[in-house]
Amino acid sequence: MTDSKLSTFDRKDGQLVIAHVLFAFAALLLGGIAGMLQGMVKGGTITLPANIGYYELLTAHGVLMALIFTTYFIVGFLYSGVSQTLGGRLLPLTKRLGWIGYWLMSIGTLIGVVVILLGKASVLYTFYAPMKASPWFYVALALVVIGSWLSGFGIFYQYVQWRKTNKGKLSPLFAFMSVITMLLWQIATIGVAIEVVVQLIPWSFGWVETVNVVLSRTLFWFFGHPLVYFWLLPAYMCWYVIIPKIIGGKIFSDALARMSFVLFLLFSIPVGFHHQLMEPGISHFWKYLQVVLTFMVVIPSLMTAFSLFATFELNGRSKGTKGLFGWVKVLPWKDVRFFAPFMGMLIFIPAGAGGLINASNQMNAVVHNTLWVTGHFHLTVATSVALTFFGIVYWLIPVVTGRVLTPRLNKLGIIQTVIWCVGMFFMSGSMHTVGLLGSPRRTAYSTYDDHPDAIMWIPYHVAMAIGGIILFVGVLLIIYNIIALMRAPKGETEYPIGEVSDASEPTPRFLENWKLWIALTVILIVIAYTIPVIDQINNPTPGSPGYVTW
Amino acid sequence: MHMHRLEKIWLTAGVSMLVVFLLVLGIMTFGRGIAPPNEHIHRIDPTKVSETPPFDKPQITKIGDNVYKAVMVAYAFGYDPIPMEVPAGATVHFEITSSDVVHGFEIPGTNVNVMVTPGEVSHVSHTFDKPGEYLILCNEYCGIAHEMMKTTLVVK
Amino acid sequence: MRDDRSVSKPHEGHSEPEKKEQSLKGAFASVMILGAFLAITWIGVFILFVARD
Repeated sequence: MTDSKLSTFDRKDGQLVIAHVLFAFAALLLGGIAGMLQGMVKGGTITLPANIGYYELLTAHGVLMALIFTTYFIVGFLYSGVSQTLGGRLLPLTKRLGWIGYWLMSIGTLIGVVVILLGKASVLYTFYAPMKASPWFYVALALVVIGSWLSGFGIFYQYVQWRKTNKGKLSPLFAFMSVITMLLWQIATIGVAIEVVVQLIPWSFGWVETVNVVLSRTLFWFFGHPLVYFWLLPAYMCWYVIIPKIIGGKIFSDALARMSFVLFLLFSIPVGFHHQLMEPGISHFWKYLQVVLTFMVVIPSLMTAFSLFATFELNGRSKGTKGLFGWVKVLPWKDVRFFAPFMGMLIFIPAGAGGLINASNQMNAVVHNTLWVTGHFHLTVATSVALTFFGIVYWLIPVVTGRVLTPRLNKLGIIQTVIWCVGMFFMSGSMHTVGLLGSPRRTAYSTYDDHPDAIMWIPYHVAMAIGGIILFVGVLLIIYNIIALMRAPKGETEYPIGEVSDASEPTPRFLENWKLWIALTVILIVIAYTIPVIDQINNPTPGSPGYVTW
Repeated sequence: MHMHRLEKIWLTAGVSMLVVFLLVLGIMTFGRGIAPPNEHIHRIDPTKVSETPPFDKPQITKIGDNVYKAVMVAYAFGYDPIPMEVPAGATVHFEITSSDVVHGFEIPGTNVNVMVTPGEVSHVSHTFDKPGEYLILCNEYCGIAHEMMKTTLVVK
Repeated sequence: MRDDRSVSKPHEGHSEPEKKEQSLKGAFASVMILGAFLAITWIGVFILFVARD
């Protein structure tokens, strides 16, 4: 087993990691330009030149931020920890799968972005039928998904080989969590793969006349909800495994951390209907059942909150702090590797609160398709997850390229984090408020013929634009920091893997019983989806032809 | 697996809160009929909306004492029928379908907020106590003029 | 120091009782505040929902 303290990160593995990280941030930059322009259009500050559509930009923004930035960073981050903890080097087959996955995803991304910017796929990143994009848009998406499957297989292979050569040993926590994350992804993407390959590609090529719209939406959201946990779990991995090391503390409980991830695997998928609460074609009963299952997936987050606070408190007490909140004083606030992810954690509180409201069955009517929802996911993925990923970069790039983080870059990182939080406070805060007042999401500038309701929304949209501009400054700064990190002074940086606290209970073997967890995951999916989906197939919504409404 | 006493208390409190929320939502849905929209699944051929009653004649009709039925069609980029007017205090039962892509049907300031899916008919109701000109807008992206897709309901 | 734990170390599970139940009052207070935030925001939107009919 590799001693994580002293060995250098494998150079070739480092190239695979860096390739993913740099592609992710290139996507963030492009997506960020789009986002800023959107905000300015809605705020009434600019009008776009004739050949750029608002909805084209919005499609690019969603795809680049929510699918490309996230997936690439996650794969790169997971591969880094898998290399580090499962033997110190990726096996040849793992590396090959990682690279093939990377190239497939990249070809798909390129085709997709070109088609979007050519105006042939202004269907947003949810591409709801019967709006019909160019078939090459769907082909591009399929390539990205298939590429990501190969990336996942690489991680599984490395893990399985490690288990074979380390019989009887508990797997490293990072690796266990990586397997859960990619397993979740593999199962979740089955839904969107069926939608795209079986329904949309033949229909968009014209081989099939009509599409079952309700079924296509159901298949999408089978994927769309666990997608957000695919984003969240790697952030949780940083919080559980990396942060304790960075603060000089210990992991509170290995067993409970694994248990929370198992619960995420079980309850992230059979819940897609909570994104379909306001639509026809699905009965109350199944909507409510999936709402109940959705509330169950809150539980591992409640567990995580306790674990993290406990980690901080025990760290404080071991350093002599007293009282309920003395532990706050000894946290490394000036260390961006802690501060950025910590802000992610803090902001997850309002983020999660919003999510609970969104999923609350009929209460969803208050917020559905309003800017509240946009505000919500800018807190969850665009702050909690994004800031955590930004915080990771300050040690990840040095570790895998043989460099060190300088005090100057650390300072710039703190500044970038603060800028991000300020921008997001204005933007997401306004979005939540104006959403409650009824302002719709995914909508370009409009006063609805000067209707008083719409006029009332304008100041909030202006605040959103200001927030968006501040965030764009944040985007430019993180890009600068990344480039600077790639050129930082050479040196050795340790991969910060946390150690488990001595007081933590030994981890029960059943947590690593994959057959059990996969079986339960499948059973829950079967319970939540079989009857409504069979009904959608046997009593189908009459099919729709395609429309190009842009 | 041992869990610290305080964590057990926390999770018990947290889960209890979730259970209370679910009970409230469940009782409202199944007991009081205050549910998400679209209980009844009512289908239609989306390519024949203009030929299929009642959507061949979108209109708002009185069906009882201050009770109205509004049969509507959503399309890129507007709603039929226009205009629409009811007296204050009227309860309107909206029945709406789409003749092309998925649209939204939202009345800001109310709980009227449903998806309009081609092939399906959406049902939602609201009592308009206060007079005014209510904005009805599409909140589901439907194409290039999505931000212009709206109508109004005048309540006198 | 190791950075993973093998399951076959039973003796570490049974330290003295007071060492096992460390003070986590700060963590508990923090999560209860979090829980209160969830409750208050949920109830707020619930009231809005009910008020709008």
